[in-house]
Formats: sequence, structure tokens, C-alpha cells
Amino acid sequence: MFSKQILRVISAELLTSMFGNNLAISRRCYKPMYVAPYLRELKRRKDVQLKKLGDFSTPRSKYIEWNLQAEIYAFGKRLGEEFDQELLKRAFTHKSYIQQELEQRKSLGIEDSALALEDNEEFIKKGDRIVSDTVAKYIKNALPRASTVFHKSLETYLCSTATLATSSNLIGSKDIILSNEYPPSEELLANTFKAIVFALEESSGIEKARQFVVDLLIVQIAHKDIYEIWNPKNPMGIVCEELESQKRALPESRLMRQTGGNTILGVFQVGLYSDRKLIGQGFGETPEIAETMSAHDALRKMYGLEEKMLPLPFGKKAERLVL
Amino acid sequence: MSSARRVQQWATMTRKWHLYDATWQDPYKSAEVIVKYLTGRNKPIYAASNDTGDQVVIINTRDIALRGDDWKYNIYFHHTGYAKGASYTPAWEMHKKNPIYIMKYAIYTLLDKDLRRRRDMARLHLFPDSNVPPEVMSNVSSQIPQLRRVPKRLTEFSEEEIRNYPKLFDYPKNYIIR
Repeated sequence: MFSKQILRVISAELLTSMFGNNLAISRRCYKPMYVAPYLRELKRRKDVQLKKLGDFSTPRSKYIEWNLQAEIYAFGKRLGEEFDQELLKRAFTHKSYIQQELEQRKSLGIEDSALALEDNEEFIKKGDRIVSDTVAKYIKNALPRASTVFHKSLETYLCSTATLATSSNLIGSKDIILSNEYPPSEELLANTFKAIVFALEESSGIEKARQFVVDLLIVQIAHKDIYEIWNPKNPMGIVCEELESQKRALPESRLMRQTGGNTILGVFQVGLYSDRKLIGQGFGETPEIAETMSAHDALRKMYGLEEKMLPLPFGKKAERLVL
Repeated sequence: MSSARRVQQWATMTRKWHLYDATWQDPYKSAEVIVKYLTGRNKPIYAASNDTGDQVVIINTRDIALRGDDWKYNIYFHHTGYAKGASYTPAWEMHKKNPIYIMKYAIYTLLDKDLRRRRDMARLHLFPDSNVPPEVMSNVSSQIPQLRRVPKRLTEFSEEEIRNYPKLFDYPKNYIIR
């Protein structure tokens, strides 16, 4: 058996010929011959199952040994926060869940529709206010040199449903959410996050709630290039506006360097000058692109959002910013 | 990839165009420098499997300088493959027939004898004098410095320069130079 085992070595030269000269490879992968066919078979079976039964998945709560109280307790402890258990449970309970429960009881014949559960509608609204307030304060204080337009766009990004849902998912609220839909939609996850924030505020105070938002929501942009989140469509116009407001001369662009202008691989470097002082420079495949990039560079420099900027403050440094 | 990263990548991996003036230069020593630019070994991003080589435009190849008696005694051998097909051409004759050949062959022999050689040679542009087509010249963005200083010959000095040239001593006015 083992004597017949042939190792298929995918050499760097072969991979380069497949993917062109854009890839510099330094590792070779040795895999036995049965791995690829095995994985292919698994995928085929999964596709057959999905086609037959649709995208199904059972929530963790439907499996045995599900203790909601224990889960909620652990949730709070995992995040290192002191939650009031009732408030936290209420934060996870959505309207649709309560409606579902009532309908189930009706169908079973239980007319007594007094459920000892309250939904989290109010929590969501109040939590939303805390989240947006904290985000706005943080951005304003962490990036004082940037314009309000930039602040707003970053706020919109951070308070968007997608970002909130990511945070919510990563702290493990997906399995604890009480709702009629599974898997929970982004909106549901986002709302749960807001409700949790309010529950924390009620349990431990506004300071803890704000720190929670910084540590678990705003941290998503810690590794990102935040200028790219904004990415204005008319950078030159904004540069002109900024210079006008600062009572400086309007920008002029000059070609600094170029090579291979006649070829398809040409590069142009354009510099943006205000009153003969360099405010930004950019590269591009054509002079027009280079000019646009130089405007972007000028904006970055003005707002202090260069790639070399200091990392955003978190932890102790962020405590002062949001209070 | 963000647009900033894209243009940074483009600028890093770009192929630059260099100019080299071969006037009074030794083709073999120049070839050592030019080969570095053609293969891309002048860049820190060089990798054998990557194509990071630059383009080089060489002008005034007609004015290259060989050492000593090399013009007379350097022989270029060629065999057509057929009987009596051997030919031995001295450098001066080769240069007369094709003023580009000596410089080109010096670079060709110095490149690694692998499949990248032809590709790198395709990025070499040689011209016997300074008449370079404008579409090529407009690409050039840098100059490779010459290896040796071009000497100024006596005939190139103007009379005024010769008169004003500092002297330690001079012949007396009535001295007749024989």
C-alpha cells in the first residue's frame, strides 16, 4: 500500500507557470494522492444534501444539554462584565420569539397567555443611542485633525448593521438569541448587540457600557486603513475646499517623475503643490490617476490618516476619549 | 486591494528605462553593469522567478573603446555549419559592418545562459549614435553613469583655452622649436 503511495510535488515552477509571474512562491506542498479525491467526494455529498434538504442548520439550543441560564451567566463572565441576569436575558429575547411562544401555547390549547418574558425593543433603541454616542465621541477625539465629513462616514461604517452583526457574532450571541429565525439575520444580531450594551449600562453603569463598545465594536477598525473606509470620490475638490478654508493657495499639480510613458507599463508620479509647497504626491498608471492619488495623499496628510499613522488607541488610552 | 495599495504595487514592480552613453567606454566592463539592470538585480525586490528587469537604451555604441590592440586581435568566430563555413572576423571589421554588434555580444555572453537571456536581451536597445527614435527616448527616465571619464583630446581644446592653460614654464620667445 505504502509502496504505491506517490507523493505529488507541486513545484514552484509549475505553480508559477499556472499563475504567471505575479507569484513568488517559497514553499512546496506534499500531499498524498488520496487527499484531493477524498475532499472532492465530501464536497459532492454535501452539495447533494444541500440540494435535497436546503441550507439547514439546527441551533445549539435544540441539542441536548442546553442550559440557557448557564449560557447567559457564562456569556457575561466570558466578556469580563457584571450583568444583571434578568436584564441580559431580556436583551436576548426578541419580539418574534415571544409571539412564537404564544402561538405555540395557543395551538397546544393553553389559553393563559401571561408569559413571564419581555422583549428587547426598548433596549435596542436605548442601546443604539449609547453605541452611536460612544462611536461619535471616540472618532472625534481619536482623529481630531480629520474633517466632520470623514467622521460621519466612519461613524456610519461602524454603526452599520454589518459591523454590529460581526461584533455580535464574534462574542457568541448567535447561539443564545431567542428568536423565531435561525440562523439569525444581520439585523437581528446587530439589534441584539445594541440591547446587550443597554443591559450592561443598566447593570454596571455607562462607563462600562462605553468601554464595551470601544473594546468590541470600534476595535474592528484597529487593523484597517480607515481612510479607505471613507474613500472620497472627488478628493481634488475636497483638497481645494480645505485649502480655501485655511486661506492657502489653490493646488497645482506637476509631473514629478515618469518612466515608460509610451508603454503599457508606464508609471507617472504627480506632486500636488500649494503655493510651491508640496502637500501630496501619488503614483499612477496614467497622469490622471497619479493626480487623483496625489489628492488622496494630500488629504491623508491633512487629516493625519497616512499609512504610517499611530495605531488607534484602545484599552486604557481609550478610556479618556469616550467619557 | 485598495487603490493606494494598487498604485504602490504598480510603482514598485514597474519596469524602468535607463540610458547609457557608451562613448569611450569599455564594452565588457559596461556589460557587467548593464546586465545587473537588465536582470533586475539592481532592485531589492529581485527574485529569480519574478520578472523585475529594466529596459536599457545604449547610445553611441560606434564610439566604444577597446583596450590595447584588441581592435586588431579580438577575433569573432562564426561557422555556418556547412563545409568551409568558418569565418574569423577581427573586431575592427565587425565594428565597421555592424557598430552595435560588439556591445550587444558583450552583454549577451555575460547574461546567464538560461531561458531568461533572450527575454532580457529583448529589453536592450542599442543605437550606434545619439539618434534615438522619439518613442523610445520619451520612455527613458534615468541614466546609468559612465564607468570612465571621457577624455578631452588636444584637438578639442580651443586656442583661448590652450593660451590660458596654467604652465610651469614656457620656451623663450625667440626659441625655435625643431
